[in-house]
Amino acid sequence: MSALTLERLQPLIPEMIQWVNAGYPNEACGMILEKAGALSVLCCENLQDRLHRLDSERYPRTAATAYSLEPLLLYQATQNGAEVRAIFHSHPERGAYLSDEDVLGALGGDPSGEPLLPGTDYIVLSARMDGVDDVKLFSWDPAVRQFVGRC
Amino acid sequence: MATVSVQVPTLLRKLTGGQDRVEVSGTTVGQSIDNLERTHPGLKYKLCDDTGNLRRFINIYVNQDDIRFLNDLDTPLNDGDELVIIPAIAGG
Repeated sequence: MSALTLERLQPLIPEMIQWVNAGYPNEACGMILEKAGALSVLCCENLQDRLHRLDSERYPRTAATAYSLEPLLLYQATQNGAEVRAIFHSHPERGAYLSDEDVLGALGGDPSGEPLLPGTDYIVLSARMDGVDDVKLFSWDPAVRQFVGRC
Repeated sequence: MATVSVQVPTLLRKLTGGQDRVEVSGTTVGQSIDNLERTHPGLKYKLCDDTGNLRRFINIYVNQDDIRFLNDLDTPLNDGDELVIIPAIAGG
């Protein structure tokens, strides 16, 4: 599989932006799948508000500042032979960066752990009232044990 | 006591001898995890925290229903049910 780059992602960015704009002012999320060499976008429900209503102690944040991608979609995608190349989500009015919470989630809750989804990158879109103004791609660098931004 | 199959994600398969699917008995999801621990030591620690609750970044589905929206670890099981363990994809 060739590396995921913002150049390879360019044709998919409009669809991600449309989903993010539709979700604003909440965080939107989804996956970039690859099957037979072709990349595609899978826009996913953000479960965060449902989880917050279910148990606000365990899930104190709402979808305004958090995302929880429907896990079954990840399972179904891989069962259908797709590779999950990236997880994307938006930050409303906060900028395109990987937050501490994003990194913790990517490491399965263990700050000193390994990525929960080895080989999967993370895309963050900066969502503003008048649209998306930045898109950044992050990959795990095992040499420094951090997610680093890539162009 | 129901016998159910458990779909194991890649990151936990070293605890199941590489198997992606194992069988276990249990009347509830919680009991099935306890029984899984007997045959695959270390698995419960990966799934549950010290209070016995499911870890924040682990999800379990019973026949494609998220147990968080059912009865959590007390979700009852029936013969032939399929449990799927899926990592949580979350952040903010």
